Amino acid sequence: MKIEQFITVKKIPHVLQALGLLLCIFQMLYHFTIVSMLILILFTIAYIIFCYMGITHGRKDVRTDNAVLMETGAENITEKETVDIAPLVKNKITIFPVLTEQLKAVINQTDTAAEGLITAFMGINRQAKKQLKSVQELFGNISEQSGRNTLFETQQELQEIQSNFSSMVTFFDKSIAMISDVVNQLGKVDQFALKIKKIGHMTNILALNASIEAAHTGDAGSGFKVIASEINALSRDSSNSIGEIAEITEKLTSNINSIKKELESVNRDTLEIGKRTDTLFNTAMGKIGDTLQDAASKMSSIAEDAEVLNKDISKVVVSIQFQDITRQRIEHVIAPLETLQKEITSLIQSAEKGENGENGTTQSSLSSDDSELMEHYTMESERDILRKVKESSSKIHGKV
Amino acid sequence: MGKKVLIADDSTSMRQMIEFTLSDAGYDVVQAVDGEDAYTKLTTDVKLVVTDLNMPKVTGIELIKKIRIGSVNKFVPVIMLTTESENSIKEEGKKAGATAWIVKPFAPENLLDTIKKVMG
Repeated sequence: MKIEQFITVKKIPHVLQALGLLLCIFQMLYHFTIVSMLILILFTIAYIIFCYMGITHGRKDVRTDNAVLMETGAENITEKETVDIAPLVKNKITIFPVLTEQLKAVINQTDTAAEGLITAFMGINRQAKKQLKSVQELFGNISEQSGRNTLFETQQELQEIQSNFSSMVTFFDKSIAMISDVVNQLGKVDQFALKIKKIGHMTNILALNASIEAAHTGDAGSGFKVIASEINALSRDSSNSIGEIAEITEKLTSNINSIKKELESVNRDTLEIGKRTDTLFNTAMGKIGDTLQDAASKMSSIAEDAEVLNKDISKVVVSIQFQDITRQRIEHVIAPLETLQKEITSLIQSAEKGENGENGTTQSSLSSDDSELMEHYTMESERDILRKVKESSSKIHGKV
Repeated sequence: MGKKVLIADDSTSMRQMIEFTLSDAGYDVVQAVDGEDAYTKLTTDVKLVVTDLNMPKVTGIELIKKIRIGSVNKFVPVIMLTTESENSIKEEGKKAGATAWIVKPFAPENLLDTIKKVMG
């Protein structure tokens, strides 16, 4: 449609509007009749129809001659306006670099945030593992696989001490029994000494009697007198020795009895200590057992918590990776936006030079762009969106 | 000294995450910001390459091709990280010489499992 024709069509409603206004003034100044009222109504209807026709023509022109601009939503742009649209669009497209830079800034910000999150969460995970390891080292490996840990060793040492106490008690019992035996033996020695003492006494009496008998005999008994004297001397020596033996035996018995008493006392103490140790040991073992069980339970709980934490952090790490996917998708928007900006700039330059779409410079083929986008996209989800938009666009174009 | 793993990804957060995961598992990690950087950092002692698919300058696929035709470490196993599970992408990577691929997002344990499978 020629511009001149369109301007004529567009002027009709204005002419009608002016005529209607004049008619109104005329009526107000002169007589208000039904005929003039009807004429006014007809003028109004004609005005509305022409206004509507003007808009419809404008739309058709735009769809026919500038499909691309229609796609951008410029529905009310008339052909007259498209001629002047170049500077307007030129001004508008300056926003493209701003938008792309904004998107790049978003990428950078989210990248930094994601990096921070990854560092923090992986750090937490690392720390949790480290703490778990430290706890395991602190308590020793209380798992069933190994019994080498401080608490178990302590338990073993306590058992050894208890065993040593039992041995000591046994030793003391044996020692006391042996000492009792020695005391008994010493008692027998004492009895023998008494017998020997009696024999000595008897010998002494015999020697005395022999001396008396030797004296009665006179010179003939002088030899016998000497023998009786010697026997008497032997008897005295024997009595003296027996006395010494008895004295020694008595001292020995007394000393050994003292040792026995001491040993019995030590034995009683040992037994008492043993009993107390046994009680302590059993209590300690119970506590150690409880502690071990508690520690094992806590260790298990810590290990489970660490495992849960590890899994949760894995989930977080998986979620954070969506930032990378988002980044790529934004990059896939930025690149076509930059291309689009270049194409529109080229279109404007062509329009300013007075070229039209027929030379091919302003005809940005939508199908060609689609295939480029399809190639450009690396994600199936991106391609799905493109396909859906394309289908929707095809339906709209089909209806028009 | 753990086995050296080269990771190529233009996303700092992804590199960070992979490095944490691998270093905790005892690997030595070398980071590269894109395919070009990765190729310059590829040495004979690198035992594995983990590369993203979409990277500036040299893409993941291009990097794999460069590695395979190059002379530095042409038989090194390469795990490709993609945001796409589409078969065509996998086929493209496979054709280029990728040993395995992991689809993003993935759990750190999955990455380690795949690495263990690849490295034997």
